Amino acid sequence: MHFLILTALKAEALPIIEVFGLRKDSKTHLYQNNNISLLITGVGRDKTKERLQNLHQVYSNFDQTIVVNVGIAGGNPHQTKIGELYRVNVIFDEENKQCFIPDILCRHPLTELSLTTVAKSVNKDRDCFTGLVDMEGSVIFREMSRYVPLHRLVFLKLVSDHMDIDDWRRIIDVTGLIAKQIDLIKSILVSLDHHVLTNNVILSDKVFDMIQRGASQLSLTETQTHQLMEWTENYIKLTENDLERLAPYFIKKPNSKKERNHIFESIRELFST
Amino acid sequence: MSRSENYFLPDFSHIYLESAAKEYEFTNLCLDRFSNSKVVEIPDYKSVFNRPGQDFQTQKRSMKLILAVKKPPFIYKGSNMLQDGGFRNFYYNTPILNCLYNCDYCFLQGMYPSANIVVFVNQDDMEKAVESEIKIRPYLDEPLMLSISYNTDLLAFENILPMTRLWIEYSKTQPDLNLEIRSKSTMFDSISDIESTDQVLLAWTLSPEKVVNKNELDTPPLIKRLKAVQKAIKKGWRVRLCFDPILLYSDWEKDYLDLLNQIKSEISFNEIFDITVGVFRMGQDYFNRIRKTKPESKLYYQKYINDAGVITVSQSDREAVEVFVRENLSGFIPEDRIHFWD
Repeated sequence: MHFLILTALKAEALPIIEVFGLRKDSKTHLYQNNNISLLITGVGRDKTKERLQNLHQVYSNFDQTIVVNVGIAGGNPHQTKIGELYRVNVIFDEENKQCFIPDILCRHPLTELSLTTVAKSVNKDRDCFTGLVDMEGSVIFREMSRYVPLHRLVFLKLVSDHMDIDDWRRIIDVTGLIAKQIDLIKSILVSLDHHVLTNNVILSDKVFDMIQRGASQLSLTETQTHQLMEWTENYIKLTENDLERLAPYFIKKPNSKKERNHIFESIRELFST
Repeated sequence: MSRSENYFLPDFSHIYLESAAKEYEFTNLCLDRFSNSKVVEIPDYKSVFNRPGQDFQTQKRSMKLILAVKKPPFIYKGSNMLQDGGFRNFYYNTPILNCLYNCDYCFLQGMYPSANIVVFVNQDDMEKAVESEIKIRPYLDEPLMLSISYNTDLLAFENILPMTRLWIEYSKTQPDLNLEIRSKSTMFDSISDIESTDQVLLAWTLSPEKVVNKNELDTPPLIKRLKAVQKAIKKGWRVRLCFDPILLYSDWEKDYLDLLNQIKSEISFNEIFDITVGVFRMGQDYFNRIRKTKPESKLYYQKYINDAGVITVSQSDREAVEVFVRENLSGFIPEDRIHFWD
């Protein structure tokens, strides 16, 4: 599996960058090493939304990616302890009243709590908020659930305050708080790293490319390309044979639609036999 | 990797509780039964069940329970995919959405975006709807036949919630109501103390052991289902046997012949109410939705025909199945008690 870690602040990212030996790619602004990437989104809805909406330009391996949001959060004083790490099981968006629920399918060692995403820091009426409070969670959920299934969205929140600070910038040692839990964060990532969570794939990249190139060579229509993909999948699932016999059909570029359709029919016959 | 491997949380590790579903008896029973589960309160069950981005098969490895209050409609007219078994006032309802089992050929994985189990806790509303429908059923000289296990396996759920029991007891208060309870489970023991009634048809889906092992994940073995059938017959219940779907693969006739012979040796067909037979079939939307997820099962990569929006095997294959069943049950059960899906 690949992990895409999202933090709002550089101060939150620093211990993660260090423990995984990540290096910043100056073009993409992603910190990377092997199967771990990290993006700093900035604080608040707008910045987070903007960064994530542009993410597809620099990151594409979503079929095998687990997205992990790591960050500090305010905590209800009766339910949370400062410095403790929690797993989020439901996110309420205070602004639009929507509710977002990640799928928690795999075992983990953390206490689970709800998270409310707010527009401004909370420092009064704190008892109105159960669980945790942050400023990005719902936006991360909404944006990233376009790319990965809900069981590959993980929200880990570390309580930095009991909603008794009027400005999050006054939280003194964010890096230190995360650093104290970095071993736990790392162990959670390691425990999630299992191939069973990846998307099902029938066509390997090599076969997929061969079909795409073949379809382009034959000038197949979109529907024909889709059918060809489907036949290829059927063939692989049912026979488990390789596709060497298909390659000769892709050599010659047809001179007319009629010839193209003729070749296409020959491929259909090949697969039916 | 099996579902039970340590990587995944156990089924029902989480219970999503719709705010409106608090204080119902079924809710309290479930919360007591799964007292170690994490309870997450939600405004509406659809906010969990209908989320985009769920992966049905991965969720099957750790199913969650959703407790909700059903809103109307509470009862539906039978679709052409369901076999009415000769009952003209044929309806179904959905006390539970989704199933504890995970059969390859099941339409639920295409019908629902989620593999999580929804239990509707407002039994009273469903009963009232049945009573209203009984009064306006099209054929007043015949009972209303209600399939209560259409979008689930209700009997399999009986050790979690006694819903089958409640429906059976309820049917006894409604002389014009018949129930069909279709199952693959062996939970008959949990209702065996109830006095049998001709208003209830207990239906078991039976498949060759090879099919059970390969295509009916998490279901009880054939031999245990047969034992449950035997017990039900002995207790005086009407029993329907369902060979539905009969799956076609090389040598399917041999496996299904072995199945029929095994049944003949263990059960007297005179005591069987009727038999329903069907082949693999699925609405094209459901089929395409499942196919998009690239399922493991080879069933979704075979050749089918599209018969007016229904993906199914060819007419000649359907006929072959019918001939096979009629030939091999000839003399054991009258032909008019064998119902074929077509």
